[in-house]
Amino acid sequence: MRTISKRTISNGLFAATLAVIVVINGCKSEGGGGGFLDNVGKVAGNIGNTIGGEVGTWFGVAERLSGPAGKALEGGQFNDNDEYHLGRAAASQIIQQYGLFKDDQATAYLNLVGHTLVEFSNARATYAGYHFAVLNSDEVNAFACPGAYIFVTRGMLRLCASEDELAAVLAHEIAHIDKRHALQSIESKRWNDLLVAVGQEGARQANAGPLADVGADMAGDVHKTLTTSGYSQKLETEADKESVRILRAAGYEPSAMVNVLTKMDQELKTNTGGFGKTHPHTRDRIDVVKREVGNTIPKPLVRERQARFDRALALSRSKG
Amino acid sequence: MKHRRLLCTAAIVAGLIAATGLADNPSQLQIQVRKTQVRSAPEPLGTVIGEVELGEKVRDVDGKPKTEGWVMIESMLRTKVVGWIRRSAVSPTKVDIAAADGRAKSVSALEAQMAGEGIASGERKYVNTNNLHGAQAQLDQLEKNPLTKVSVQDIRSFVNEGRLSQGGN
Repeated sequence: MRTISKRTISNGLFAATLAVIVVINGCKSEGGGGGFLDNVGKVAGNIGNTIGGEVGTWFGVAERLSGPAGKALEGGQFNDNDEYHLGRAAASQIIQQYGLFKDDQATAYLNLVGHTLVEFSNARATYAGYHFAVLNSDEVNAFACPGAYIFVTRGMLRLCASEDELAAVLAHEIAHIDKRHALQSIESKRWNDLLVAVGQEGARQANAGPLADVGADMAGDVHKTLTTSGYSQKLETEADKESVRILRAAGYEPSAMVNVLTKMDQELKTNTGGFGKTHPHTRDRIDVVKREVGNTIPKPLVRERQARFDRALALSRSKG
Repeated sequence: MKHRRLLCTAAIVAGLIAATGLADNPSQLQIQVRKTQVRSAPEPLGTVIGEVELGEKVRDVDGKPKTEGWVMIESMLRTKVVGWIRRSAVSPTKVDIAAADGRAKSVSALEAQMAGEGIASGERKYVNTNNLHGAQAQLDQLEKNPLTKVSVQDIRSFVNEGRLSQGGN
């Protein structure tokens, strides 16, 4: 009898406490939407997300990077804003080296093709958005600087015979940006230097000396990779596969990527500078892309697309 | 037996209080890019219904991603907007430090900002060392060039004109 009585009291306490919580939460949620049960549901959802692996994905593709670069990203020591400034330094050097080609029609067109690919690609958002421009060089080349500055040389525009082929080049560069490949070209030592510099009290002052040194060194690494040493075969293959996916998503002919690489391979036989310096394994890449594209029959060129390609790039693709 | 039941009750109550406390502070996110569009649907060419800017705090509406790469948010800074943005455009806020302009900065964001100042200084140092001031000015012009700004409406027209199909070939 005594036991029953205590259990009843215990149950009563539990029920009363629950009731109090419900009332409190009912008041709190007034006007804000979502009552007690909703909140519990949300919490369950959040816990489910965490267990499901959502933790660590907030920085976009941080989880895709391994090693010190990935750690610096996940740890918040390096963010989109940093990547933007790093990219600006490297992009400035590329502009200095090649020069921008002032052609409004080509710039507008390049940005339309580029932004269309970005829209369909599900590529990550970048700090200042994507910018596409033409470089005044006969060299066959294209560059993707961190911060989403994508440059295509006039030589590369001449190599492309259609909008689909141009889209293939841009999709490949967008893939490099999306996967933060340039950050992987930074020497491991720099990431360690970054961690040390962030930890130093001096870096918290206005002059930010140690961090400036690390930032400048990182920019140098990126520029060297883009213009001299090139990405690893693994990263190029990753970008090629992704570019085929992007082309498909946007409605472009994916075999255009095979066309471009085949032409580049031909180009390498006579010219080992520019693209040849940084992309030495074109034959292997063609095989990978062919496998990605599969045995689908290429669609014929779309007349409207070809007309606007010829019209918009007439000046940039011209000799001289 | 009675002690165990009381302990269980206490544990459940504590858990519920903790749980509701968490839910009362729903997932706060912070915009980490200069600007990003808020879409009516999480898909390419989704209608733009608003815009959110760097540092703005937004609320993760449903707390669970239903579509890969997108997050449904509610922005309260200027006018109330509920819609979808790229998940990569936000980072989670931690300890909020309210700013006078209604935006908020988290401890982690402040640290990242400090590191950002350093890398920004790195850009200046690199430009100075390599004498890239002219090229940097051209880059600034490129960033501001309206020809590099493409709206969703522009893309829609471009897709239609070029007979590009959504969803691929």
